[in-house]
Amino acid sequence: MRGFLRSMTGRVFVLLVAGVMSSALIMHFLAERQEHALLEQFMRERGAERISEAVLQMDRLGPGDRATFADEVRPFGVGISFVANAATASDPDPEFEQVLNKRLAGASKLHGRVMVPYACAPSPGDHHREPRHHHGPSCRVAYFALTDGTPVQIQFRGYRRPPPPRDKLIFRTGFLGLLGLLAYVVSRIATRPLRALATAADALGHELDRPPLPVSGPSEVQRATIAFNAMVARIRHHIDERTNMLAAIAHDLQTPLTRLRLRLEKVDDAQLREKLVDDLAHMQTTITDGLELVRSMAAPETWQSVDLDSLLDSVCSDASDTGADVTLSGALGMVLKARPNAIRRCLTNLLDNAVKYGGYARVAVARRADTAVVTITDGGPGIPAEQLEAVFAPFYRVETSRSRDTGGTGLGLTIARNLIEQNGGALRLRNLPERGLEATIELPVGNLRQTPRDLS
Amino acid sequence: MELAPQILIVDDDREIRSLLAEYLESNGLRTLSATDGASMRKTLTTAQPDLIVLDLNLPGDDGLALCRELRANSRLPVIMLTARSAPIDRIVGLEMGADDYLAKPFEPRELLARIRSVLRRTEALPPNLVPSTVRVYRFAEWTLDLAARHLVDRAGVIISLSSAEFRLLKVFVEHPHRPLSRDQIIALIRGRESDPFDRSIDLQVSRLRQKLGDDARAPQLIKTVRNEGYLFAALVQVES
Repeated sequence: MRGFLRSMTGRVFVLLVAGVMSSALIMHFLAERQEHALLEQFMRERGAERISEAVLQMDRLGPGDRATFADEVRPFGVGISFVANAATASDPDPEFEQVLNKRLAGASKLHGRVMVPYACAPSPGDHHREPRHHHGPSCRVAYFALTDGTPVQIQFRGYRRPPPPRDKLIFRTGFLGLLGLLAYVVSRIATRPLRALATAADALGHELDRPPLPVSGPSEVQRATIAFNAMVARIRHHIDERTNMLAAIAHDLQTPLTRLRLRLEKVDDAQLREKLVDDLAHMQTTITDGLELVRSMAAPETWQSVDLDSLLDSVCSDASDTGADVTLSGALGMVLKARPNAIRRCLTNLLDNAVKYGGYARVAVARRADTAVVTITDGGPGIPAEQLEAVFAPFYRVETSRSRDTGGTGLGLTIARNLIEQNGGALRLRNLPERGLEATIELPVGNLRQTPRDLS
Repeated sequence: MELAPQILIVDDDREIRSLLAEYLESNGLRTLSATDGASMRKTLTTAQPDLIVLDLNLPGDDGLALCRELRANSRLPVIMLTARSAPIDRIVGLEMGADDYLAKPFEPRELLARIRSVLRRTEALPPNLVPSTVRVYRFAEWTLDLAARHLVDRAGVIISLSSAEFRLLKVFVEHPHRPLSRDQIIALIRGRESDPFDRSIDLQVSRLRQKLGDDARAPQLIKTVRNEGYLFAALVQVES
């Protein structure tokens, strides 16, 4: 929930709901006031008419018939009692008074004022209590002296506001629900181009060489997309430049290195020559690995359908053909979409490491949920736990007396991880409980399909 | 006494030419040298070297163009010296018909070994007369991609090959319908690349049959010829 409110979608959603809700409330309030004013006016007119008629009628009737008349008109909301001015809590209603006076036209005297009592006396036929209403009860009380001097109190009950319709609650809930749904849909639509941009930026972390994003959506997002595409192009250009520069350096070093290597054949001291040749070989490895590293970031190959089992088998065979102790177990029995050369190169690097530092390599492949898992274990001393992640940094070497002799460039694992990430996979290292290092390659198999081939 | 084989070195760097010539001569070979395409052609009108060591990056006509030209006119074996900084070159070089390639800077001993191996191979069998621009071979339901060094099945799925399997299969598709003895196969394979061909031919053939889905008891593609060796029985189409 917190996450939703922090998101763009959530904010647009909340703004929409709050805006629509407050405007609906204001509208509702205004309509209510209007309705109330109309009712009041209506009551004033009708009330004055009824009260004045009753007073005039009672003037004409003899005292004996007045009680009967009072009973007759009660059902019509006119309560007549023959009492003098009784003090009840009430407020005056001068407007009503004015209308009433005009109608009576001096026939009978309005005695006192027309009051709005705080509570209306119940009248027969009242089925339910007067609903509490902030505008006060809708009845009026007036006191008269008839022409013969009899005091009369007339209470007029106005027309009650119709009770709120029963389905109002359902209506309001429905309105809220609909509003929420609409607001959600609108906020999703509004933020979709933004989300697409974010997804693209995410994917860029793994693969720079992708087509530019289509420029669409609202103008702000279009601007962001254009800026984003331009940034990708600049980064790509930058990396290409770096790759080309390194390639040019490597290329230009070729001739002097070749000369140097040939000249070394003339060194008579065999021991010295061997050492010089080793140094030269190390320089060459650094150059080629450096070049490989920038290539592993810049120049991905196309995705192809790959039979991973045959790929593993080939890499392992190549290694064992050169005399290394490498075995392969398990089979995936699947075809996956991948970049075969990148995977091959990565596996070769890991096998080389395993054999070089761990004596042997045991390769196993299995399918775990939606991932193809390849593990390469060796029998070496492993890597100190705190350096397991650091070894992926370029030129990082675990400092042991052995690694200096073996003369690696510290780029093999960096290249391997880059290549696997280009395949949408992950590469991790861990020390085995007993002895040895385990490298785990995870490749997504979302686009796997059952292979019809049987390689057993 | 038979004359030592003569090697023509084509490289635009004077120092490399002379150092290489010196090295090869100290190992019992005779040498000639040329700086570019023009001087190579001139040399070839007067001399008959046994093999050419050709640098890929030459001023004027580059190594690839010269290699193509050589292949069109003669059966002279060529070893191409390529740049390690451009991995695609080695493949292109081979496509253009070089018999072998080596990335600069190279181990002198390695070059020597390859020169000897190519010479031995040309003696064992005449150089392949397949058009030099072959990119893929098609046979049965398979496609062998020379540049990528892998097999592609009918469904377009890539089946990877080990180096040994690739070299063996390449020998087979280049010499179809022709019984090849184990020695001939070894001669055709060995030295093409530096890795030792440790496993026996029989083992490699059985692995290759497995990848091709060829039943070992009744093979349809790689047939066993009693007392002779193997025969590649499929119809091979060449595509450039």
